[in-house]
Amino acid sequence: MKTGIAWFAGTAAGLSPIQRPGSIKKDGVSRTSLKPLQVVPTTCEQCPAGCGINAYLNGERLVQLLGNPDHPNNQGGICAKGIAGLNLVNDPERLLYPLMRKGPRGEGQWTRITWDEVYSTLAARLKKMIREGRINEFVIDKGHDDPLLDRFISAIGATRTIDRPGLKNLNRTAALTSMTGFPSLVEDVGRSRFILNFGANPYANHDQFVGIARRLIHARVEKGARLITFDVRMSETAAKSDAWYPIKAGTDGIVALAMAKVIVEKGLVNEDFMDRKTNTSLTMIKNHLSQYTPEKAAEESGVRAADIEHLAVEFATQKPSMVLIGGGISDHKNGTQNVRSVALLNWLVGNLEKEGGLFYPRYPASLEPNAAVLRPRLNSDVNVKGIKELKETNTRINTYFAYLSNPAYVEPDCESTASLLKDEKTVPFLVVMDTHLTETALLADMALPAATYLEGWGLSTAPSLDKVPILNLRQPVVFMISTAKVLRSPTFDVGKLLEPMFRPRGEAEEVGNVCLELARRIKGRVARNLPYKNTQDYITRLVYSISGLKTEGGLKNLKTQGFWTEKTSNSGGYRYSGDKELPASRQKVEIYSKALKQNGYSPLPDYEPLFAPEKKKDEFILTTFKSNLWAKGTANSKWVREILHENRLWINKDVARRLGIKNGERVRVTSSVGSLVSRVLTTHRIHPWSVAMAEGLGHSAVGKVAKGKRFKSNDQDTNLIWWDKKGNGVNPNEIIVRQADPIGGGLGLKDTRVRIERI
Amino acid sequence: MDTQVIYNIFHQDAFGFNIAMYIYLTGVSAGSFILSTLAYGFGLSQYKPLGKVGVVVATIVLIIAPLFLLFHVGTPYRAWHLFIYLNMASPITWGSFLLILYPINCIIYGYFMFKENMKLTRIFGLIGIPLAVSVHGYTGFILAFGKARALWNTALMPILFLVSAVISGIALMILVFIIKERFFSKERKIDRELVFGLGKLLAWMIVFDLFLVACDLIVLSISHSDAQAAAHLLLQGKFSFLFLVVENLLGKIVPFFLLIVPRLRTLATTIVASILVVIGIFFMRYVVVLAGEFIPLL
Amino acid sequence: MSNKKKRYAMLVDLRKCIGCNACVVACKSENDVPLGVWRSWVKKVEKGQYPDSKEFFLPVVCNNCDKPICVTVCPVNAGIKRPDGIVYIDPHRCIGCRYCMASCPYGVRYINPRKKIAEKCYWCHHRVDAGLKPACVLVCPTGAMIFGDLNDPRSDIAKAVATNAVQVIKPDMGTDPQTFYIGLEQAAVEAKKIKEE
Ligand SMILES: Nc1nc2c(c(=O)[nH]1)N[C@H]1C(S)=C(S)[C@@H](COP(=O)(O)OP(=O)(O)OC[C@H]3O[C@@H](n4cnc5c(=O)[nH]c(N)nc54)[C@H](O)[C@@H]3O)O[C@H]1N2
Ligand SMILES: Nc1nc2c(c(=O)[nH]1)N[C@H]1C(S)=C(S)[C@@H](COP(=O)(O)OP(=O)(O)OC[C@H]3O[C@@H](n4cnc5c(=O)[nH]c(N)nc54)[C@H](O)[C@@H]3O)O[C@H]1N2
Ligand code: SF4
Ligand code: SF4
Ligand code: SF4
Ligand code: SF4
Ligand code: SF4
Ligand SMILES: [Mo]
Repeated sequence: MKTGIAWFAGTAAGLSPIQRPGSIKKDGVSRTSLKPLQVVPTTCEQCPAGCGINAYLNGERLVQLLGNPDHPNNQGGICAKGIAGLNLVNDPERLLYPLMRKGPRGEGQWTRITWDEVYSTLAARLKKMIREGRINEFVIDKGHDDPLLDRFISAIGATRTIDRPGLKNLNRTAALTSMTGFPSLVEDVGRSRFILNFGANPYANHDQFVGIARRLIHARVEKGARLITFDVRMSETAAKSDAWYPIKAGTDGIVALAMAKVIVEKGLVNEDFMDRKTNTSLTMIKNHLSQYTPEKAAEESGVRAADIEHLAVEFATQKPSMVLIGGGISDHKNGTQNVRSVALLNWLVGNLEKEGGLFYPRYPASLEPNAAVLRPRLNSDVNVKGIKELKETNTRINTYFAYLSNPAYVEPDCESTASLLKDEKTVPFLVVMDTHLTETALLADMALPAATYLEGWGLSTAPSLDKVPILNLRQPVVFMISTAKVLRSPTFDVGKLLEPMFRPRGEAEEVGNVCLELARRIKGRVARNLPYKNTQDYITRLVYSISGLKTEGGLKNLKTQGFWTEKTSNSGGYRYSGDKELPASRQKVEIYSKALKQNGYSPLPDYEPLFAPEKKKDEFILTTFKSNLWAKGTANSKWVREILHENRLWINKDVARRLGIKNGERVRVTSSVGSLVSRVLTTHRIHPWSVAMAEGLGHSAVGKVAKGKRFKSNDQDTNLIWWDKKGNGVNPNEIIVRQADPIGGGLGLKDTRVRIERI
Repeated sequence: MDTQVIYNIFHQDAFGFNIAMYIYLTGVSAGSFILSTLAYGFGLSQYKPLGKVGVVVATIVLIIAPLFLLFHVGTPYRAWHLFIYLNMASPITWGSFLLILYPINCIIYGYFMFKENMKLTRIFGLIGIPLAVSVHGYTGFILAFGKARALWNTALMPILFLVSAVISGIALMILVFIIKERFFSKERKIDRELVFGLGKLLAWMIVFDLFLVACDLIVLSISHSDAQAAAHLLLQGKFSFLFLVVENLLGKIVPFFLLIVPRLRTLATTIVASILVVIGIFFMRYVVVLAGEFIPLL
Repeated sequence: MSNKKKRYAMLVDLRKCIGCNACVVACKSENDVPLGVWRSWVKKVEKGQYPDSKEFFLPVVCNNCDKPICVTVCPVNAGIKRPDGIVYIDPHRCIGCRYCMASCPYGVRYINPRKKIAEKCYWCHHRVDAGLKPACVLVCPTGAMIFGDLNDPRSDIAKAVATNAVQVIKPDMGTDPQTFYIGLEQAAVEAKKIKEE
């Protein structure tokens, strides 16, 4: 066997062995020819976890995506969505050419146009807006982070951006930032012995899905760690926990505060940590918590006082322990304080920067000069929260540009969002750049084909689950152009002949390249700020500006490994080791937040009831949750849709019996903004007050695969689609009420009240 | 304990209508053949008029039957593999040879019968009986080898199949005989004696068949959980109408009374009874094959 | 390593399975499994009464049985049990008679709707022969699946099987299954969903 041809790159000693560029790692094999496949490592972007993946090429064709066993976070494991990325690129229904609307908006009549027309139209509009000082009429709705897009936005001076990645976890971000200065912390679950999970579902989604699930499972099965889950329904995580505590929606905060009270009162607090590392005194906390008795919490949440007490004691005495924070507690109108209350448990026992606790994220120190581009924003400067806000403030819009963002489907009360976008007075010119004709793209004046994450370049920092800073490279892996085609290509470059060349499918384009071309056409300052040939050029220059990476083989190394870890660096940035020092920016955990006080909110973690004391009889709280099979890129993925094409409304079996609703029956679910019809799943796995529904289904656009319609294409599978009768589920966002937590600004996606009737 | 399947896949059915039809037709053929040999093989001369009809029906039906097999298999153009890559442990392999030998034997047997060569007719008739029994019995083995399907996996299966084969054979013979006598014979007169005799034979075979079915059900309903589920499926579940009403009430019990109660016994009722039996036994095959697969294995 | 011949086996540690379906999708991708048919799937079963309820995930693959009834019944010897225990189907021989599907107690075989021949999980023998792990084993995010040679006492699987209580699905079928489980819940095996509509 010809395994392990390892070269030592560079001249410096002690560097990690790397693969010879272009060499064939023998870890993929063609099922038909039994020949080894060529491997190109890259990064998955179907969800925020950013797992390392290997793309397998059979000749020119991408045939498979599997986990990269060398990647420190996912260690070879990947999830269903990651594998189904193949469906995303190869989808016969992808949007592949720029289109211009023909008929009225939303009628779906298009003419194909050239990119040149696209560029001249957009450049002319932008130039005009810049010249006339009206660039704030250019609204950018970005569903995905892209550094060149960000650069472009700031170069043209656009002020109105709807930053979806920033919007998504505003409450958690606000809560954690208010306490620690960081929007998110790394959860060292692998080394923990006792994990209290409030509303997170790391066995199915969560921010670091595979990386966290892997470590958590390892800790539990191999090392006997305990996992306790609070959730309104039995999530995958709850099913695989030592105990599941069903809880009334939005009441986690008071349970956590009661636990805190128990910990304080039993003298189980880590006083040293409280003294040195927080800005609050124990007596202050003690006084503040005195109102939160376990009995009161029990009454509010339905979790028994005795359970609250023993879990609090266990949490404080089992070391190391930690609290996991999920969307289940932050996606509420009281989300920010919920998260603060739950996080308080960590600080009481000193779970910061300790094995098995929470850590500040690590970024490569030598990345500092570029950190602003690469690192997720620290404090997201989201300035617009959606088209509704623009409408409410009567903002004039000239052009609305949505990139990989589908507000007409994904926003709460999405139908009214869609009608605003459809209204030519509100949005005179709507440009949507996406991989598919989404619900939003159908309303557009111009629909542009976006390259998928497998067809372009990117550089990102992955959260360092083991405290080693990681830099991920995303490189194109699809549609390799054969040497013959390269020779014929107008952009032929002799120096590149030996390198594989890729081109996105059809006329799809990376948003970075679009920005660069627009900048070239706008000229002047804008062009000077974006002086790159293309995305690859930009990434190359970025890579060579990272000193540590340069000495370890630079781009060549990165391209053969797919990622880079900064093992040596010990200082700078946000790194600091041990329990000794806190980063300069953040000396102490602020349990008492002056900022909150200034804005008129309770400065200490507090509980604000979501609902009036008694909810009305037969009124339920609708929880939406993410399925392990769904992510943004999988709406039209055949392998995923085949498994998940129904999102039945979960309802407690005893409740259903009382209402005379049988499993599988159709019910009408009505909220204050609308109603929808769904089949029910009667189950013993949900709190009687809640009903639940997976989000991500019920597309009315995107493609036939999503809808379960058979059709002929060069993919023979599309003829075999079989879930037609089961349909396509429903989109809960049609009835989700748009409501936000005033503190963090995050949406209360999980507390819409609904009524249910049999039909 | 409350359990509920939240997610599972639906499996393709292994066998379906085509196989039910195939089994049905082999059964009819075997039954007709056996009846035909009563006169020529065993010298029961009152059945002599049936001899030729029997062999013709048996042969024609048996030539049609394998067509359903060809419809059933995914790659019929590979049927020759059956004779090249032999696996003697597989009932289907037994079947491929029986399906060749049995019709050949039928033709030879018929040939001598029409040539009025009694000696050779007798010899080939006697050779044919085990073949006929096997050609149908082996289909019972096919199902019985379905280890995990409670309804199939019983040693009773080949016998049950044979008895119902004889029933369907007799019923079909009655019908064909009446048609032949009524429309194609010189006298245009039906030998009522013979028809009623056959009717009685049919009635008592029905009793035997019902006995076997009852044995099967009784054991199923006290056996392991899948077997109980299978019994439930037949008695109260999705197949109960087909099983209880169509197959057993209309297909067996009603014909039994029509044939056995002297006051009811007329040519017309015999015809009705025979038609009911012919249909009923088809549904027996259908129910066995499809209900056998109905309960998911996992 | 001893000279004993290989006996491959699979182990699914159900304590580690999170029901994510990555194994299922990986198999579709690795083996070009058409829509509507499955070499592996994850059965999910709920048990108990609120709030004392539970959900079980049960990934199912072919057991590559030591006494494979599917091989016994194949009339054209298309089912073949290799010396290392892997049971596979010769695609050039199979006539698509579906007898193996009828006889396998686990329902893991299907007819490929395009090729009209029987297929099933064969533990990715093309990968195994190249020294690689089966696709599902490779991707499983939690490492719940282990594959290897039971006859090699130093292999992960031999160790895991030796040191844990392992179960197989329906041992009473007498096919001697070689896909083992840790923490197999009978209710998850026995719960049946009858076809709707
Ligand atoms: N597969 C997959 N993975 C993903 C994503 C994806 O789309 N698909 N998206 C990524 C993104 S963008 C995000 S933000 C993360 C989200 O990751 P998570 O926050 O972990 O996921 P959610 O599904 O939003 O919510 C988790 C759980 O909260 C529960 N819950 C609802 N209300 C309450 C409550 O009041 N109290 C408690 N205790 N629990 C409650 C829900 O039932 C659900 O099980 O996942 C990321 N990972
Ligand atoms: N009811 C309810 N609604 C929710 C939530 C909830 O819990 N309940 N969760 C909210 C949360 S946490 C989030 S993060 C949002 C998700 O909100 P968004 O991120 O806005 O959601 P999507 O429409 O799934 O994804 C946007 C677009 O990305 C496109 N896409 C296609 N290919 C690619 C690709 O290669 N790369 C990328 N990056 N994108 C591609 C898809 O076609 C899609 O149109 O939903 C929010 N909405
Ligand atoms: S967890 Fe997220 S990043 Fe990792 S493989 Fe799955 S979708 Fe991709
Ligand atoms: S990939 Fe692993 S964890 Fe996921 S369902 Fe399969 S066995 Fe379970
Ligand atoms: S599980 Fe079924 S298909 Fe697989 S070897 Fe055993 S009997 Fe054959
Ligand atoms: S379907 Fe193919 S493998 Fe199965 S028994 Fe028939 S010929 Fe053999
Ligand atoms: S071993 Fe291979 S064939 Fe079997 S289920 Fe796993 S991926 Fe599919
Ligand atoms: Mo999110």
